[in-house]
Amino acid sequence: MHIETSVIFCVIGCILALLLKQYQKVQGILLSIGICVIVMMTALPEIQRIFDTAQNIYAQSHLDGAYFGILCKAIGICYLTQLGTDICKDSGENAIGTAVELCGRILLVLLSLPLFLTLAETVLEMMT
Amino acid sequence: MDIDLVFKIAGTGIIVSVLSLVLKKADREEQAMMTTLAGLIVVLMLMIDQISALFETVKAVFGL
Repeated sequence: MHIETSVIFCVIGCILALLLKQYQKVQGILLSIGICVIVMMTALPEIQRIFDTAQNIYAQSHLDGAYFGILCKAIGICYLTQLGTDICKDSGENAIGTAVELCGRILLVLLSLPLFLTLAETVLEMMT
Repeated sequence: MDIDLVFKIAGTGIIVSVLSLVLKKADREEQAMMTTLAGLIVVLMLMIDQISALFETVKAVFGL
C-alpha cells in the first residue's frame, strides 16, 4: 500500500462521485461506497501487521490473552460501524446512520461486559 | 488498487443518467425509471463481491 496511490485514487473517485451526484444521486453514493471498500481493502492487511506486533508486546506483559482479543474485536466493530454510519449520513439518511451507530455502541458494551465484571470482582476483592 | 472497478461504476452511472435524461425528454418516464433501476442493479452486482470480501477481511483481521 502506498499513500500517494490511495490519495490519488480517492481524489479521482471524489470527482467522479461529484459528477454522478448531479444527475443520479444513487449512482454517486454507490460509487463512494465502492471507493471506500476498495481503499479499506488495501489498508486492512497492514492493520494485521500492527496487530501482530501489538500481540507480541502484549504477550510479554503476562496479562490474560483474552483481553487482547476483545480489544481487536472492539476495534473491528468500531471500524465497520463508522463506515456504515458515514455512508448513511453521506446519503442524507441521518436517522439510519444514528441507528447503525447505536447498534455498534450496544455491541461494544456487550463485548466489554466481561471486562467490567472482572474489574468489579477485583475491586470487591480488594475491599473485603 | 482496483481503479477499473471505480471507472466501471462511474461509466455505468454516466451512461444510465444520459439514457434516463433522453428517455425523460422523450416523455417515457416509465422506461427512464426502469433504466435507472437496471443501472442500479448492475452496479450493485459489481460491488457485492467487493463488499463481501471487505467483510470477510474485517472478520479475519479483527477476529470477529
